[in-house]
Amino acid sequence: MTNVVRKTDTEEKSMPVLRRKSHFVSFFSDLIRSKTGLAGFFIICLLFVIGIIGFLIVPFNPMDTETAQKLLPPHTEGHLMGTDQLGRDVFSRVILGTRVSLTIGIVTVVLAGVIGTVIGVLAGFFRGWLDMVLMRIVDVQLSFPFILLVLVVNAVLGSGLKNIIISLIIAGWVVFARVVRSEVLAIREKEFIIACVATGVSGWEIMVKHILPNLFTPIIVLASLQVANFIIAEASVSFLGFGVQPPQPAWGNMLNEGKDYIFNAWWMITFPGLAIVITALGINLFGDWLRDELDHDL
Amino acid sequence: MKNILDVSNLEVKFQTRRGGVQPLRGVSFRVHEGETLGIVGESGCGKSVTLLSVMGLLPNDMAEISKGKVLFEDQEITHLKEHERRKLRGSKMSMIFQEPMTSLNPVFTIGDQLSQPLRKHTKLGKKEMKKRIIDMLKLVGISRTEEIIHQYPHQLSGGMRQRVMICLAIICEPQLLIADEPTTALDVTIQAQILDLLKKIKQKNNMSIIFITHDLGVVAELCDRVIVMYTGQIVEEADVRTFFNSPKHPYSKGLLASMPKEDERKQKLYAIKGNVPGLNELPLGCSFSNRCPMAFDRCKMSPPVVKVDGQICRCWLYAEQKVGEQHGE
Repeated sequence: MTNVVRKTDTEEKSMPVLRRKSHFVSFFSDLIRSKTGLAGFFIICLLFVIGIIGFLIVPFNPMDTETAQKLLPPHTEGHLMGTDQLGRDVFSRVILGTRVSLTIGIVTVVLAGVIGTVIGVLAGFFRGWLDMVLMRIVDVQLSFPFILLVLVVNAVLGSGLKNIIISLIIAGWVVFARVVRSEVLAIREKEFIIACVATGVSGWEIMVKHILPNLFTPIIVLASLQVANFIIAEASVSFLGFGVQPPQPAWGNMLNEGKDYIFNAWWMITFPGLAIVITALGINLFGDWLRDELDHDL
Repeated sequence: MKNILDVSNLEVKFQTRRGGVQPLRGVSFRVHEGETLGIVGESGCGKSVTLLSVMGLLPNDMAEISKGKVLFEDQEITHLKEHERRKLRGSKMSMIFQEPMTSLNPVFTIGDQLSQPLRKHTKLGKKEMKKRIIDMLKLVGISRTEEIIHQYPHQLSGGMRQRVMICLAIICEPQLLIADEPTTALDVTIQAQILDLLKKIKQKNNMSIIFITHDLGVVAELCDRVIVMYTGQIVEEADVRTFFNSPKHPYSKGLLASMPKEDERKQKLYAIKGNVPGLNELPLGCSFSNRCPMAFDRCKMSPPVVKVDGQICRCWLYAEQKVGEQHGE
């Protein structure tokens, strides 16, 4: 047994090209071996498919109101998840809500991630007064509850998809800035950075070419976990009546509408709620696996 | 012989939250062309600070060269602007570090990292660069060079990484190589190979080396001249033969006595009693006096620098035979 292992070891070393190709493959073979990671990955793939082609598979127009058919329980007259108080099909609305949630989750994470990374890198690399100022801003922001901050910004900006994204970014970049700054502080003390300086590399190049690529792993891991947070935050804000406004379907505002009927139409609140839970769970499962997979050498 | 590096009366101050300390208190030494200079001493005696200030790598938010001059090829370099220093670093003077495991950037291939100083300091084209890298890798004793340049640091062993580090330091053929304990983290057989390699490269390129180490065996093996440092001062300077045959300063004697010898098996190794004092609690006068077995009354005063048989020694014991001029204070 040990012989076999040793043989493959040397084979790998003598064939670097092969080894580089298998990088991607090994990532997926690791994923298949992890039950939770794979489950999360499937849920995410499923959500993307629904998000992209959802409008093709919905049986009803989610905006169509038909008061004659209001509050139908699931499985009646072709309404898989029943209808709401205006007779709109809950299933169609949940399906189309997927796109809203995913858009918000991904766009906010990308933009908040970029802003937070830039600020974190600047603070961690240059230290001094810049670091002081930026990190005090972060401290002040972190002392507010996240949801409250999103609500306040959203109340100022007004509701709507674009504004909820902006308010989530304003409230969410601080987490990235914090994590990135602390990573930069750790990396800049590593010997390879001093070794770079010793070979005549300038400070700017060190920041961009040597520190930034080393931040890739922690940022990816944090971003994957933040997507779920942002989706939940959007749902919470929409539930409270801000954010995405009806009649446009979003899981949060469906919950809001459903809460008044919770005792006589349980389906109105259950299915969008389940959609949020499954999405957050899937993303978190995958994000956790990703952290275990990528973090080992950092 | 021509001096490649001339450090005179160098003083460095660190500003910390609890006030200032002075890790270097007037250090003067010279490095000739093609010479290997060893710097020895316990941890915290200023070896690394000396060399970092020569390289201009002191953290500039807290450290400051408060006095003294560093002449590199007869050019004063302590007052150079950062971009002028960058031109020197990696091309004319370069440095090898102690930890081969963390001295290479984990996200770049070996080839990428080796091409960096070339891109900075030369105008070679892509093909010439690759050829130079492969030649230099062969010089530091790496076979399978075509594959190595596509590999990442984590795919290499510690000895290989240190070879790559050396390659990185010498790829622009510097006149001065500073080696900060390059073999401490390696096992003994690899250590011997790396030392041989340094000797070989030095002869080939007529390069000067400053070698920091704890290991007096390495000094005997590699160095032409030795400097002994203690609490930010040079306490003894001698050529390597004289140093091992007749060390003058009690601290040097202590260091040599605490070296294990292969032909005898003592119950316990000799150790200099006590520890290196902190920089803000130095004893008055000679800073070694509180640990020195030969200390006497005059050691309460700052000891003179005396020349004894071609050695330079900072000690009251030899004050009567004082022949040379007085350095420093």
